[in-house]
Amino acid sequence: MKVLVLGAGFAGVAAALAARRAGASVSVVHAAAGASSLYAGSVDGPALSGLEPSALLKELAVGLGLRLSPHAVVATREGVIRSSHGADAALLDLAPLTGKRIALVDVPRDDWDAPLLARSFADSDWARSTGTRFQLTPLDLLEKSSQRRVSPFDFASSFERAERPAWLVQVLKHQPAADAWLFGPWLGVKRDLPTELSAAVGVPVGEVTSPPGGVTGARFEARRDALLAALEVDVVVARATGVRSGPANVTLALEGGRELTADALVLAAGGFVSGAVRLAGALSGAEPAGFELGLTGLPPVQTRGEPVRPVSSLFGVDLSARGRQLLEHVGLPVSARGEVLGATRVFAAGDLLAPEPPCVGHALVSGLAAGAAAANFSG
Amino acid sequence: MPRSASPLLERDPRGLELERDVIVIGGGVNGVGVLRDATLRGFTVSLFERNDLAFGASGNSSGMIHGGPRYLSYDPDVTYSSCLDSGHIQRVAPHLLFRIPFLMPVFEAAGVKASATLAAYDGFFTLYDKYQPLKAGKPHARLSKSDVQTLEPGLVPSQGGVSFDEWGIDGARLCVANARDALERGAEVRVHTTVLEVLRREDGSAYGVRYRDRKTGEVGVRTARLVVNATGAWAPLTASLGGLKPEAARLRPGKGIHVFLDRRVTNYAIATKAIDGRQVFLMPWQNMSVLGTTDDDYYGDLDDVLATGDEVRYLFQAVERVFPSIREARAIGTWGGVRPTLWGWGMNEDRLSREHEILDHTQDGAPGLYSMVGGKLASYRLFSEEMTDVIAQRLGRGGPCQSHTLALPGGDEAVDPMQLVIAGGMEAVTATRLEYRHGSRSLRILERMQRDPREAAVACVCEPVTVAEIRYVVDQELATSVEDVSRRTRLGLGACGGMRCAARCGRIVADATGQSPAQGLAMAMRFLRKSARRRSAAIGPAQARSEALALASLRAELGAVADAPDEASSDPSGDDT
Repeated sequence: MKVLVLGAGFAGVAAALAARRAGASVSVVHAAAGASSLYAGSVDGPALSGLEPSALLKELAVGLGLRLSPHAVVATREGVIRSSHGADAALLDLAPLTGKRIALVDVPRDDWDAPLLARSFADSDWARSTGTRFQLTPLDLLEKSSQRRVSPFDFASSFERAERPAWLVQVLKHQPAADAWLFGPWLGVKRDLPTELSAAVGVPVGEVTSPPGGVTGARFEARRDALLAALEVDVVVARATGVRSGPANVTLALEGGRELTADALVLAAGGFVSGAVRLAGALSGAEPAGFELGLTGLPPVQTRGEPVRPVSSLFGVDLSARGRQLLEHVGLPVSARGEVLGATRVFAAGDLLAPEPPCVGHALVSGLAAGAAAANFSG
Repeated sequence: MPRSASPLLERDPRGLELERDVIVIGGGVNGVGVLRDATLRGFTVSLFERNDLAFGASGNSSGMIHGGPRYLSYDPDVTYSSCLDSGHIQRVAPHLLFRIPFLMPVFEAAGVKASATLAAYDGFFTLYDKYQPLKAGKPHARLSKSDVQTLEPGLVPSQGGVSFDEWGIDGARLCVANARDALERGAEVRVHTTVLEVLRREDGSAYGVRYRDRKTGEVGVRTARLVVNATGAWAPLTASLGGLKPEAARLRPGKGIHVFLDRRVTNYAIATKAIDGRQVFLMPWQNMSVLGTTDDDYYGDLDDVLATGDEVRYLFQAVERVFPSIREARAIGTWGGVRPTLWGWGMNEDRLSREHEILDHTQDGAPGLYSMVGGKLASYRLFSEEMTDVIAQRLGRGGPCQSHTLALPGGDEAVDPMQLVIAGGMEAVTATRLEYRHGSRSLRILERMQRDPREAAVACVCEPVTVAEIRYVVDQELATSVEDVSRRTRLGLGACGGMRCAARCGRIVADATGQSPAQGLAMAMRFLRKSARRRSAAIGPAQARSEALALASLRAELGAVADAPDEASSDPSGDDT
């Protein structure tokens, strides 16, 4: 059994894992960075709450460094404290820290306004109702003044150099005792610094949420690559242009004329942002176009159960008139088991289904389901 | 109706002395222009603005102080006075003006020889060159086919063209500078304060206003000898607050929209024709490009003017005909404004007069009440001077006009942005943009950074805007919300639409104004919602999908705050007129 997976975000990795565990050989095809790489961890969403995680989901969470606990509480980079399901495990879980004193690290970086963040956290309903305190703690973490403005990714990477973690442990140990340490999104990319630091200083050390394009997405990519390698999944970096499905097999056409053939295909290429699947049609008057999927050979997309057809305008859909929320719900029509209607051997997962706003939990669960269904496809 | 002034009454109906010489209603460019001019001449003045300074047409115009070439063929006096006043504005606010060279390419058209069109343009702009020295403009140039292609390689091949010179300006900054100057000279300025009623005596004469602060709900009365209605497209509504018929300040409001691209895509502003023959343009403006503009009769809500998808398409259609790669450009927002065009029946919007008039409502039985109708950004100073002349004549005192000789705040001396780079550790682009907006006042913002280095942090990376500048516009320029800060600094108007900076700005504004952090995040969310509404008309499906994701991420960051009621329902003012 050979399964192709288009897309290597949360949904694609989940599908690859499920298909491998079901015994299929798997190739993952992906091109540009998508929502998972850019926004991982920010949009953790509610989908996992109240769901008993399966063994596969747990395996996936460990591999991708996610915390599945439905009771976790995290601090966001915008000064809000909220519950969290399925976010990066590097985020400090505040749930066990009620009533404690949390040291908020103050570093003079342009993107880090610790005094006002501390005020905002302290002023939250959660902090006030639990009596939890946030203590502003200046730490001299900049090696040079230019680090004020380097990207969070570069700043995070700087802590991975050989001597820096041990140095950071010493810095924390010389501070007055705190019940936990809350950092900005800088605690390493490839190395699991939060776990290392927590073990060394004896109290939890973690981060606030990461901005789009920040370290959480970079960590996701690093862990994904390691996981796919460990699963012996073949990875093809290429842009897909079309799908041909038939009674015997399914073929994915790639840019440059190459074709891949398999027994089943999982489309997990994200919504219309990821670069693999695009909506044709623009503001231009020169090229009359309505909605059209950039991948040929697929049935029309739907929104809330209604097919999305070209509209009666040479200029495409007027978003200001129809509402942007509509587009959050544009996706492929699928059967109950995730098979794309009208295209045999083709399954869909993640944002491409888009029954609800994008979130990590939904991508994982639908990815696992589609991968298993594809691997078990029997005509 | 007799136009000669009756003796002024010096007291209100209860016999109390009047508090001010003049009350100005409206914080657009004409309102603040009169506020400043009258204050400079020694009058005591209060200004009431229902929303924010530059909220309407003044902050949503094409952002130009042009010399009025369109009047050249039938009313050269207007061109003369426009160019002269453009020169005046340059002298009082040199930091706020930036050169915009225009390029008018000529194409083959059915029935007209390109060479004839080119010769006509050449002759026309030779005439315009005579006025250019008044505003430090450069003379026009007649360009060959290859000249045009070299200057703007993105243009489709033309038959040549002409270039001419105009000046751009940030209209909101111009309004703020005028208001700030008047404040420093003792005037009173109340923003987010709506006038509920223009108060009149039994004999009909106006003696003040009753107002409500829309943020605190406070209601009060301010009395004055004269009341000036400078509310632009709102003028008929304001007149009705004085018990006059709206027709007493009749206008024919014309909506104009602009679309913003995320960067400067051309060197020159390119003037071209839309499908209906109207002149439209693609113009480099500050650090982005602007497509403009439309002109359509407007019957909608003046407090909520939004560009629509079909208006955007009209502009793109016109520009892509001569500049095809505009299709690949990224639109990041729209501006919609309503011109206070003078009334006229039975003609196209374009044909309506751009002139201005001062209406003395003595003719409607309301002596002491005046309405300023019509006008354009480029003529605001002259219009304000004319209005203040009327005030001075009516009150029988006041010094000579100085609004064209005394520098606006920041315009008194030039500051080298490199000085800010060296002294403040700012990046060059941050310093340059800061100096553009504040002129010599940027030194005061620099002082803030030197007092507290934390304020040197760049909060909005697109524009860019520092924390010090945010705090400065809250402390010194009457900003009370993220939107107000954005209007004054362009924070959140770059490529990310405020998604990276609005929440932080909200926390800073809340901190500086004694509000809770949660209130700060709520005002950030209001800004983001409004900016999303403004963008949605201009973006294509693919961009919309990406934006939906960005907003989902933001919702995750802001938690429950994101679901707070939006601006309309949170406005405590309720049923405003």
